[in-house]
Amino acid sequence: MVLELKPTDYKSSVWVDWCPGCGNFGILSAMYQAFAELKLDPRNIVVVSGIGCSGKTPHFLNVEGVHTLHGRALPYAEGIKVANPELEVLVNAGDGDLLGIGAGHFVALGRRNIDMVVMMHDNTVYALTKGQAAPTLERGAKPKSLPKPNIQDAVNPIALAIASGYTFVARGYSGKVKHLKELIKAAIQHRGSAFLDILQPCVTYDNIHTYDYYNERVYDLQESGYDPEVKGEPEPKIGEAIAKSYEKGSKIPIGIFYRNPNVPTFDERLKERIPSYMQSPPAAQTIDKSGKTVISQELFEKIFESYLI
Amino acid sequence: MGYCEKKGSAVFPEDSCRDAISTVKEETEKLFENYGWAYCIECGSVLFDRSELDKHISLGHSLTQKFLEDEVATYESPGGD
Amino acid sequence: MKSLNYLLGGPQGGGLETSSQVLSWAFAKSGYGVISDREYYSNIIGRHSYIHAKADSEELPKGLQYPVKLLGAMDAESVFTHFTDLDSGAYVIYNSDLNSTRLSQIPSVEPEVGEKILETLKKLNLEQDLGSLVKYLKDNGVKVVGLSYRDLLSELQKKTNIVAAQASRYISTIIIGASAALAGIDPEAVKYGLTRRFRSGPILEHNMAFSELVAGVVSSSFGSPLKLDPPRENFGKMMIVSGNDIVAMGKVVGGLRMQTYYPITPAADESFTLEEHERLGEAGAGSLTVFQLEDELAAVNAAIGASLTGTRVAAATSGPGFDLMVEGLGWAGMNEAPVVITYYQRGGPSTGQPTRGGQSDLLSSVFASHGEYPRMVLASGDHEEAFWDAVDALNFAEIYQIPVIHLVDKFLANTIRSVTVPDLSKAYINRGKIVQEPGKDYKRFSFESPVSPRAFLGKALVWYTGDEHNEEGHISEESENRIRIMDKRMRKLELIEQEVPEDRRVSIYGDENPDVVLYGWGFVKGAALGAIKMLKEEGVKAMYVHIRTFVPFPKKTVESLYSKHKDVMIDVEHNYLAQAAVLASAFANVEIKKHILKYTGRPIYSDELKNAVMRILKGSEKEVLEYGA
Repeated sequence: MVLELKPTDYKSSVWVDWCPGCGNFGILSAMYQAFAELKLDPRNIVVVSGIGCSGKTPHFLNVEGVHTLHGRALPYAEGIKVANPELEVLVNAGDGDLLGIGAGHFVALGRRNIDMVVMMHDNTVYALTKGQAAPTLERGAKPKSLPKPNIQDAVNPIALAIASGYTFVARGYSGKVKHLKELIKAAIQHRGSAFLDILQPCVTYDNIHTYDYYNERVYDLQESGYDPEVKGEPEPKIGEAIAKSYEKGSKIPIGIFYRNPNVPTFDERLKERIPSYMQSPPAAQTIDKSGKTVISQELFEKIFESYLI
Repeated sequence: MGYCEKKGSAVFPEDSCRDAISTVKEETEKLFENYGWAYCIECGSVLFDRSELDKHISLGHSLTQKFLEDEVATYESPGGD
Repeated sequence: MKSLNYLLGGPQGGGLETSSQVLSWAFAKSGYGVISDREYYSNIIGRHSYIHAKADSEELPKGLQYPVKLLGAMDAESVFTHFTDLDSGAYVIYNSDLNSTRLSQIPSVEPEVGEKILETLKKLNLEQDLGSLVKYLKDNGVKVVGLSYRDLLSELQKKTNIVAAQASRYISTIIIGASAALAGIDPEAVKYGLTRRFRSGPILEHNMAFSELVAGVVSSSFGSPLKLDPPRENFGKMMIVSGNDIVAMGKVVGGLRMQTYYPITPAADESFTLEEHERLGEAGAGSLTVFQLEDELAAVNAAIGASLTGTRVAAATSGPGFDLMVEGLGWAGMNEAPVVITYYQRGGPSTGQPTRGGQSDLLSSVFASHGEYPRMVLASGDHEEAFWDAVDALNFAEIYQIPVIHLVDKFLANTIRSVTVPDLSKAYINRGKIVQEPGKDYKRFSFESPVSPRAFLGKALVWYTGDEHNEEGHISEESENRIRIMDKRMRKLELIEQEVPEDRRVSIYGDENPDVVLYGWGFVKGAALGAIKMLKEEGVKAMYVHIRTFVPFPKKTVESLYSKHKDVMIDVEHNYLAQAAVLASAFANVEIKKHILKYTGRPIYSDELKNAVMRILKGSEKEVLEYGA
């Protein structure tokens, strides 16, 4: 059955209680549109989030929603995907969530190349706790929420993602919804761990990184002729992409920095070890026959033969 | 109240000429294409769908994608998470 | 002889494990029950390690005791460390080349251990060299089997093409051959043990030939003085397993299909066992995915994520890892997600004693949380219980849609025992309430009953959130909703209390009209059962009350026993605070006032428990035990 759903069919009845004009509006809009254009079955999409403003995203979507703990969205998402690789898993989490409290998980996902999409709501502040500096806020910046200028340096999310092993790495901007929608679609269609750094103004607490600020600065990498594809060995492209990721100031690149389709995904790696993994992943297995274990006495003694006397 | 391009200043309804047209709809629609949403100030909610947008425009609601900096939010808003 | 208590000592990584395994298999092949506990340092190679074991002709032993009748020493440190563990007329196998080795020359001896030994040597007016100690032992009735390991190894080298560096690996074979000779183990059974360890090829052949050579040397001078009586009964089809192994087996039978973990002692071996057998039967029985994550935060939360897809899932960890998992468990409680945590207790707090045992995490596993949610806490006392608890934990988690904590201690985890192969006709699977085809108005957290039917991700639109939520799983802060959904979740505790019988939660052993009642849990069981027998020989009738489930607590049984025996009830635990007694006071109208506690990181031994009980019967209120190197 081919689903013909409109973007708003993916919208839940829960009131979107982000601040008026929130940078998250564009991300949500792009997700509705991307899901509709890819004709995804809502029951097959799982949107996993951390906490904070971006953590509320799943509640505004009429798809499977898992709103988890601060920093732990990725482990939940990975557990879901490894147990049931049929599901389309997307993560919406903040910059603090992914690069602060959950940075270890962020790096580890890249090493696995699990087939999922990570969308980082990059607004430079911890908004729901009143605008403290996030790991993406540059040193010296003082958004109005901060009593004093920030004395910690910003991490480079794009470079970190590439160094960690993500095989699709891109940056979007919530003020360019069509461009962002296309990035989300490409990320979903990519086989492997896809990372989207999404610039997103916090209209309440950050008076520096506003819509106007980004509107003046962003430019499309692909329009400028940059090719993100890895052809052959990945190292040259890694170098080029990381160099691009350090462009800031008056020109901020958006678009795809890096795409490498040649790295085996985690399910392919698991299949090497367990040949039946894809046909019969953990979630699809029958473990009982009318209340009795499927492990018969005979099978038990076969599996654990090396322990028998 | 509106802006008269010829006079280069804000005008009140009694001052405006017969040729005055509202550009709110066009601007909103243009921004809607860019941002993917519009905010209805009357309803206090965000609109993501074109048909919803048309409905709110036809009802004469105030729609916007632009927000003035809210100077009091940092004092007024509580922490939430 | 009905049973043989023995101890093998040597440097870590030096072949001790091989010696012990081969002897265990050989004893088991001959029809005896065996148990062996490994005590080791947080170190990879070089520090002193020992295996304390027992072979038994009458039963499948569950506990350990001192003194030992046989000490197999791979090095001088083992003799210095363990000569005080010897029974009268015990046998010591040692390397006579080391007679001139002085205690102070052995760098691996921990300073505190060295001082203690030195003190003992001084009291006995002995010099610091091994030769003097051995002479003293001989003079005091110990039979010393002094072998020149160097000569034996050079003989081995002559017969084979083994180079000197490799030959030292064969010290473990000297211990095997000499021990087997003294214990009169059937040579065929020893060959069986060696074959299991070395499979085939020249290494197996060399080991067999060398073991026979050593056995010949020893038996020609000493005979087989430690030979056991023939086994009294047939224990059925047997297997030899560690606690880690048998929990893994229980999980496989109980339908576990995903295990998450981060490496930690003494839990990680369980995940290795699972991974080794990950393909299960594949055809028909599926497979099992073991997922190693970057930390315990990830391990528990990935497990909970998997649980939402309908996978039976567990995470295995120890204290430091469990502490990291606590926030995730709260999410599971809030979202009614079934998940099992197998919790291997070691000595704490902090890194504590990573390779030593303890039972000091009971209160943490019962109470660790911010906020309140229902959970179950099971605790296993021996390998058989650990198997069935692993199955039950998976069932309970899904029946009640809660986190279940399965407590095991390091003693059990690392103790290798012969056990009867479990009868799987008793292994049931109950997946609880599941909706396969949910309707449009399906609500994941329906208020209709404490346990709402579960629809897996992919089957119906559901929302989960760590925030307080409504029936649909969307955030709700409304106060009436808060009361209804809190009540719904917490009422599971009443449901569990009604449905899980008390005899699942507590077992009672020993005399029905006792002079003394021991109250304990976990690995105390084996020591207590052993102590009951020893007390009987002293004319004391003893009962052992063994708690197997702390949440829900077996209140009625414990209160009823307390009302009859309150003055003779003794709490026995491996911790400082007497945690199980604290819980008895919290959950039942009971105040156990006498305590036998041990927190050295070593297990309670039957003999020291018996002695402590005797002291309590003579008026002592509290005994703190300390035996064991």
